Amino acid sequence: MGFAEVFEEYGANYAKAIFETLSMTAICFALAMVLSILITVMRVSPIKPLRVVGDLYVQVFRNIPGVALLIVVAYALPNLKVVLPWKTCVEVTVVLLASAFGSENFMTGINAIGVGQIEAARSIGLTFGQTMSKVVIPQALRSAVLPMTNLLIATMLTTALGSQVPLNPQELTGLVSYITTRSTGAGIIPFVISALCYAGTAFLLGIVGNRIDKKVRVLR
Amino acid sequence: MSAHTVSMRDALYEAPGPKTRRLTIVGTILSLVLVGIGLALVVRQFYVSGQLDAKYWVFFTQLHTWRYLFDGFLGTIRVAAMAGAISLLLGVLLMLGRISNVRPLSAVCRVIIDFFRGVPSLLLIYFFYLVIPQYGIRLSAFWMITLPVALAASGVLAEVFRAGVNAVPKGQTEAALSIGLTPGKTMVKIVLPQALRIVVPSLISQLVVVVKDTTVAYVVSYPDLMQNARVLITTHDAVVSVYLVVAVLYILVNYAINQLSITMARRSGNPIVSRTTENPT
Amino acid sequence: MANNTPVIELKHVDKHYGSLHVLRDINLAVHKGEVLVLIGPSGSGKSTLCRTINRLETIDSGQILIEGEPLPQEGKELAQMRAEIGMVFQSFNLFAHKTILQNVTLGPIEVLKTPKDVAEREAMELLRRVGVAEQAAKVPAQLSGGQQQRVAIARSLAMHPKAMLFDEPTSALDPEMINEVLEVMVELAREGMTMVVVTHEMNFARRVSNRVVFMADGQIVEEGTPSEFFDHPQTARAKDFLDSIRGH
Repeated sequence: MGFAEVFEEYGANYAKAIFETLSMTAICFALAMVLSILITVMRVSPIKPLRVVGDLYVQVFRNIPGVALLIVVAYALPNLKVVLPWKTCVEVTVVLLASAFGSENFMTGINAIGVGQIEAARSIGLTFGQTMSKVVIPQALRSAVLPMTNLLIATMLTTALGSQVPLNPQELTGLVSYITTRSTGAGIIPFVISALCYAGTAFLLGIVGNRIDKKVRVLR
Repeated sequence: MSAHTVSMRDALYEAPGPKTRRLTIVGTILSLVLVGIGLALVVRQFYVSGQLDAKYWVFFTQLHTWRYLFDGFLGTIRVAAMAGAISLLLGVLLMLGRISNVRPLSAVCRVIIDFFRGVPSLLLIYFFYLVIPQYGIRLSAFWMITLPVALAASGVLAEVFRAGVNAVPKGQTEAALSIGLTPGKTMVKIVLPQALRIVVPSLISQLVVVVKDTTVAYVVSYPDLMQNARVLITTHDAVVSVYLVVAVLYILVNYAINQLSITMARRSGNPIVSRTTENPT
Repeated sequence: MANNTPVIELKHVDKHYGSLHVLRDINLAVHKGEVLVLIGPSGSGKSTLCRTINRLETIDSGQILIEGEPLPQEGKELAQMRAEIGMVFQSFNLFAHKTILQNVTLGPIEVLKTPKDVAEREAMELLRRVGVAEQAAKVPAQLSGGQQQRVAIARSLAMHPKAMLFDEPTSALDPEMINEVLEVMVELAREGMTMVVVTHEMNFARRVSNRVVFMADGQIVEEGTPSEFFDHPQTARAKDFLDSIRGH
């Protein structure tokens, strides 16, 4: 099969798959950001149990292999009477994984600020809330731009986990498996198309991330 | 000068006054209660769904269960070690190409690096599992999982190595050239050895990614930890307990690797570079 | 001045770091317009003492009074009090993500609720005074250490403080930049600012201060006017210290 034939037969599938991958990426990343902010707040809170839970959360989800987590969510949870739609299983998995790394990025951003600036903020009379909103959070956000761009790309790549459960419509990786098993003789072309979609998107995201980073980077 | 160095998360708060102290205590108690309720709900869910039944857990007291899992773990190690070794070599080569003064070579290597960093390892696995056989190339299950994992890691490693080379002070190169070493010798004898030392913690932490990627070995039916777990599940009809135990095993192994990397980084004072940290410029 | 309450007063202040007794029964009063210099060997507790005054360090026992009022423990009251006392750090601690101008206006705008344009006009005036007005649009990392420290002083001054604390303000500076910072401080002292200065700059202490307090091992060992202290130190510890400084 050449490009033309693959396009003719599977063009519509690819359009849907690209949309699936991108929309899952966007949704998962957005949810992961919300969750990682929450986790980070827990981890920096003065309340010990919250810190412990937050740290544990991060250690668990940054160390568990994505497939293992997906399998637990998709195949173990139903035995505990928690049955989620396949797509939700993938999304839950991706969000859990990404939020752990997201929280690590925020923590790194906070750690880069240094005790001195916080003491300086205090000594000009800023309250705790003002110190956070005017000094700590803006700097943590700015220095998180590049790591978060990389996390966004990683999130997209992680949505390939969707190939391990029956999704309909399929995302870009599952589609390759589907086409290649269905039309033997499709050769390398389905793989190349999906790979270029991923790598191209990653490349573009990288450029945008670098641009934003250059603009907002905190010089130290 | 304060006598102890405080971590940033503590530095966010000042030493509490009486009101703050009271609030913290109340918060601590409340959050403990919430955590307790959460745990209780989870245990209850296990209980009502019958997952605490002895039949799902007794076979974990038998030695052969663990021996079987350990065999799988050895499979994981074999794949991870070989993939790691290949990706080290490929990573160095790609990095050398990327920083070379030969423009076309540098461009090609850059494209290859960006490609492997930009596609999911699962897609690469399908490439070796489904695409390659169509061209009459027969690979064993071991290589069908090892090669894609190695390729995926090599792209990131090339960037890690590049960060390492950039971190070697320019003066080293200048000094080496000034005593008459060729640029090639300078790279091999002076810069690379130092760069390698700088990136050791990053390489170790990258091993976590490799171990994670190997878990898809079941796709190609290679007997790794995950694949053997799936066999256990069919023998004992115990999905929840086996997957949970295996998940915990993976977490512990990767946690240990990460801690090792952090310890090394702290001891050497070299930062850990990974795909989510800053790209070298 | 009729009101004779000290601006800053410490009574029987004690502090431990674990088993280390860093402040021992400190009694000290700083009056309006006074320039008090704290000197002593490293580890003597002088920096810690300076930092307790706006509660960047807590104390175990004793009392700290600001214009006769006890130092608040937390919350709005503490922030309010800190706004009235300037602090200049050894490592400048400018806000890295803000421009020089924003560094100076942040406090007035957020704490004093000064309108932005007024705050900016005042800030520019202060930056001119410390000689870094041309740098207003830059960020801290683009300035030299000496310039950054002068900005830090302007940032404190923008809060119209009743008193200013200097915690080794020139210790992190290259030798050629020390004077540009000291000159600003001398100027401040001349204008009547109440100052507590932890420093190793003996010339500054001699020229500018009203009183020198010598600390060692967490205690105030000796205090007096600069000429008393430098020319006729009473205690052996002070003599040793002065000798060790003059030694090089």
